[in-house]
Amino acid sequence: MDHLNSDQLRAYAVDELDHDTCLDVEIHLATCQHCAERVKALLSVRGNFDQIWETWTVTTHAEEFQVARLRYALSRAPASPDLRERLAQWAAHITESVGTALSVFLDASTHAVSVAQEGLEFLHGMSFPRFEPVPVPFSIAGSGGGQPWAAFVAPTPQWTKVTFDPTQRRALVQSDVPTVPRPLVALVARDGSWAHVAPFRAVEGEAFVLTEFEEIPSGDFLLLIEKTPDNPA
Amino acid sequence: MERRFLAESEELALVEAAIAGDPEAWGILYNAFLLPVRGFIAGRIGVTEDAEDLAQECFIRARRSLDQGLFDRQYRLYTLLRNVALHVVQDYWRHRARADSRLSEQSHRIRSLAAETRSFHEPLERLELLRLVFVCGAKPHQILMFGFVKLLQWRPREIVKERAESSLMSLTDEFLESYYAPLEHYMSQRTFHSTFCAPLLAVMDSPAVEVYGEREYDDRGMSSELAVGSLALKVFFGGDPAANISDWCDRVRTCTRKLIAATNIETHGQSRPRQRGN
Repeated sequence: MDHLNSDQLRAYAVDELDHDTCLDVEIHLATCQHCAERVKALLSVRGNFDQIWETWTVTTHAEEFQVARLRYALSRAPASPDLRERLAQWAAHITESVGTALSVFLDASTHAVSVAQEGLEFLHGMSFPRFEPVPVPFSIAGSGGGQPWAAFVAPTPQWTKVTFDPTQRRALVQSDVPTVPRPLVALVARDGSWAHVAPFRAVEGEAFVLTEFEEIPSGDFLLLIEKTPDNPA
Repeated sequence: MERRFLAESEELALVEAAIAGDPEAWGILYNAFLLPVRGFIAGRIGVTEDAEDLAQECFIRARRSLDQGLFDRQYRLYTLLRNVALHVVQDYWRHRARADSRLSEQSHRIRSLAAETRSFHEPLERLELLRLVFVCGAKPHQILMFGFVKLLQWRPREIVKERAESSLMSLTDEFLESYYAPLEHYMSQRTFHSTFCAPLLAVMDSPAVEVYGEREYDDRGMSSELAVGSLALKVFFGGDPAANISDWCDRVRTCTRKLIAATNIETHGQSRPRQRGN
């Protein structure tokens, strides 16, 4: 199906079309999601011009893209029905509901992983508790080589430790968050193509809670931990 | 494809017959306008199952208006249907807002499911705004300086100091590259240039006299062979250059606002009534 062009869509949004042309456009909109979304956006610009204009910079534009992708990936992550409801709620309010976050690059082909905190401003506009990335001078059991990396958050008030094993493409996230329900932990591809989410679970005989992720694809992704009353940003 | 709509006289006759109780006449009107009504709604809430339900609601309400003698015959029936559709859409958003508010205090179920089924949408408002700016009718140097000051957050004095000698073409390249860099994960460079920047790029090859007009052309002593892209930014300065740049940014805003006929009141697409003969 051919889409309407920008001039036609703008003319429709500002009500410049004659009766029959308007009917033609609306018949098209009835079945064309792409054009209907563009019209919706144009009407929104028309009705909220000052608000959208005032907050418009290249930075805010890029941040909107990142948030939209993040929400989309989270809302589509595999999850049980119970978890799905909670996850969708988290996705809908993701910019206010991330307690800690880490930017990760994993290259399984070279068994390399790196962690950073840069580029997360779109999530919070403020600092998360500082992760300190350090190489771990030992192998995770079963990793069979490679250099695992860990990232720590200082224990104020809770500690969190994330360990990546690039050989096994595995991540372990540990924390001493005591609340129930425990925070969700998510790995989300930067490009929005996938997300894995799991809640922390208790470990018998241990004071900490744990989440594991297996078979993490190579590439850029984010590790996010849900903000809860006992796990504040 | 040539599409045939009901002629005014035919439509009016069907409306009169429907008011007189002819179900077949109402059926013809329903079939003629169902798709446009659905399209009107889809342009306000998206192509969803809700749009289909709301379209049905429109016809129920419109039929009630006819039965109650509220239809003004100086307007087309579709004007009535659009106005009804607008109210139906406003009710829909009010209901959604109330449901969201209620659910935030109780269960999050419906809102969560709504969020769950939402597909990835690019932040379309600013993309549409970007398109509008490039065709808003302001001059190329004004659009460029708007881009640097408003979107890239340069200070006018910084531009005067560092870019006065630059050609408009090199400034265009610099602006587009700077705007695209943070978006490169989300769209291809080709899409970005062809979809959003084509009008600005196209004008750079045009003869300056065509774009700026004879008077400005003479005032600024441009040579007839010059293309817009080869002009230096400083050619356009007069008096206080930093103040010039601020004025140009204001002009871009004014032109864009006018182009989209900004109301700044969320109307969900209020349209003007169409009288017969329009």
